[in-house]
Amino acid sequence: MRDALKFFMRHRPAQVGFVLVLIVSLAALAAPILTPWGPRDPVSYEFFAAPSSGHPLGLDGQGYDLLSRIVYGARTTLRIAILATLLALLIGGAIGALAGYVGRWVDLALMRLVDFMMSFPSFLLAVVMVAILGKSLDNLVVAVGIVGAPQFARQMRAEVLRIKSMEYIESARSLGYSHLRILLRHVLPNCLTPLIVLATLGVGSAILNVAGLAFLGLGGDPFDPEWGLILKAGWNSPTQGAFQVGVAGLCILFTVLGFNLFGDGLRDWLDPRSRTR
Amino acid sequence: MFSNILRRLLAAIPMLLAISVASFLLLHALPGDPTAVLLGQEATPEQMAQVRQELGLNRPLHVQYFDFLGNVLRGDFGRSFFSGRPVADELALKVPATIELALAAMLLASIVGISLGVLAAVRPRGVMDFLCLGFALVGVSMPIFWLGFLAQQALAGGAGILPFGGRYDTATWEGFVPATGFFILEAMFRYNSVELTLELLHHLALPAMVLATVPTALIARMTRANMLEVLGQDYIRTARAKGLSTTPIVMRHALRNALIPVITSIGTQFGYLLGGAVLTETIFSWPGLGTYVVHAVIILDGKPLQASVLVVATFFVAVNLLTDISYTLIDPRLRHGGAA
Repeated sequence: MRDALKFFMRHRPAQVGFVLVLIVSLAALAAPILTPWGPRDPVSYEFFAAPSSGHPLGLDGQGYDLLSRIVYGARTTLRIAILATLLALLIGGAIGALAGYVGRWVDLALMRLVDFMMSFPSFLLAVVMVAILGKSLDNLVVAVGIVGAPQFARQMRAEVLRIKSMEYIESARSLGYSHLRILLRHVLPNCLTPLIVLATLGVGSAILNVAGLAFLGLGGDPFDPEWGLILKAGWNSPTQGAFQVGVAGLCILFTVLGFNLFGDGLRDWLDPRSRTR
Repeated sequence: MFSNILRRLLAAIPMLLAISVASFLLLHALPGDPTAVLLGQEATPEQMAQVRQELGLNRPLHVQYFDFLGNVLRGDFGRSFFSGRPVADELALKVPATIELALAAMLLASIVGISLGVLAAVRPRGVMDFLCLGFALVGVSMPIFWLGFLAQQALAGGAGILPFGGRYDTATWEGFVPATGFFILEAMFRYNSVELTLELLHHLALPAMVLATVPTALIARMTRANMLEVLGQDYIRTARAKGLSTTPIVMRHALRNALIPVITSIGTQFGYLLGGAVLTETIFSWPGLGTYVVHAVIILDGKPLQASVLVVATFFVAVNLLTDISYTLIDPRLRHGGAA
C-alpha cells in the first residue's frame, strides 16, 4: 500500500486524473447543497439567458438554471456509467471466471459467445440493445453494461487461468476444499486488481456511450438532467445553445479524461515493465 | 500458408451462422407486433390472424429461420414497414456512403497516426512525443458529437470553409443521378466531372476528420509504443554502429517491424468505423448505415434494423478475416507455416 502511494506521488497524470474524478464525484454527491435550484425547477421563460449573479452559467433552452442542470447531470451521467460498468464487471467477470476455472467445453462455449459479442461494433450493439429494451435512462445501464462485458470476461479468464495453475490452489484442492470455495475464496480475490483497472478505464468509455446514446435520443426525455441530453438540447438551437453545448461537452471530456488518466496510472502501477521507465 | 488461410476461412463460417441467427431473433425480440403496425389499431383478430398467416409468422421458428436465411442469401432483406421499399435497395445506397466515409477517415487516421507515432518515438520526451501522447489521450476521451459541433461551428459556421453536412449540394447538382451509393467513384468515372468530385470531397472532409479522431489517437499511441520497443533492440544499435543516420534506420529498419501490429489494429478499427460511425453520421446528416440504424431504432422498424445488424457484423468478420490473412502474408514467421 505504501508502495502504491509512493508510485502515485510521482505519477503526475494519475494525480490529475484523480483530482478530476474527485471533483466530479463530489459535485455529483453534493448536488443538492451546491445548487440553488432543483434539476426540474423552471426558473423563467428567458430561454438561454446570459450568465448573471443568480445564475452563474445562465439559463438553458428550457428555462432551467444551467449550473444546477450540469451538477445534477454529473449525478445522472456518472450514476448510469458506474452502474453500467459494475454490471459489465459482474456479467463479464462471471463468464470469465467460469470459463477459466471450469475449462474444457464450458470455456469453449463461453468464449465463443464473447467472440460473437465482439463481432459487433460496441456502440452499434448498444443502440440495438436500446431498441430491444426500450428508450429510457435505466435501460441505458443494461445496454451499456452488456456491451462492456466481453472485455471483462477476457481479462478475468486470463487471470483465473494464471492463478489456477499456482501451487497454493493445488494445495487447497488437496485439502479437499470444494470448487466453489476455491474459486470464491482463493482464486477470485487475487484476480481483482487488473479488473479494477479495467473498470476505471471502463467508466470513461461508459460515460461516452451513455452520453452518446442519450444524445441520439435513445435514452431519457429532454427533462432529465443528463449531460448528453443537455448537450443535445443546446444543439437543437445552435446559435443560442452553443454555450450550453460547450459546457456540457467540456464536462464530459474532462470527466472521461479523468477516468482515463487515473486508470492509466493504475495500470502503470500494476505493470512492472512500465514502472521502471 | 494456404492451410492457415483455409483454416481461418472455415472458422468464420460458424460465426457468420451465429450472426444470422442473432439477427433473425432480433426481429422477434423487438417490442411491438408487426401485424398491428401494418393494420393499425382497428384491426379485428381475424384480420390479424390472416396477416400473420400471410407473413408466415405462425410457422415454427426454425422454419422461419431457414426461410430468412434463404432470402438473405438471395439478397432479399424484406421490406421496410415504413417506407415500403425493399431494404436491400435502401442498403445499396446507405452502405456505400458509410464505406466512403470510413475509408476516408481510416486513410486520414493511418497517415496522421503513424506519422505522429514515429515522430514521437524518434525523440522520446520531445515536443512531438508530448503532442502525440496528449493527442492520444484527449482523442480517446473526446465526446465525438461535441467535437463534431465544434468543428461545424468553427469551419462551417464561422469560417465558412466547409459545408455543414450532407454528401453534396443537391440544389446545384440536380443533374447528378447516382446509380450506386459510391458517389465519388461515380463522379470520377461515370460523370468524369472534376468539379463534382471536388464537391463530394469538400463535403466528405469534415465528417472524415471528426470520425478519424479516435482511430488516429489509437494508431498514434500504438505506433509510438511499437517504435520505442523496436528502436531499443540490438539490430538497431548495430545499424547505428554501422554509421547509418537516423532517417534510414527509422524508415528502413524500424518502421517495417513496428508497423505489423499497427496494421492489425487498423483493420479492426476499420471494422468498427463501418458500424461505429453512428454519431458522426447523425451530426453531419450523412445518409449512411449509421443514420439508417438510428432512424430504424427510433421508429422501431424491424427489417431495416435486422438487415443492418447482419450487414455490419458480416463486414466486421470479413475485415477481421482479411486482416488476419494479410498478417499471414506480411509476417514471414507465419508465412512459413509457423503457429498462428
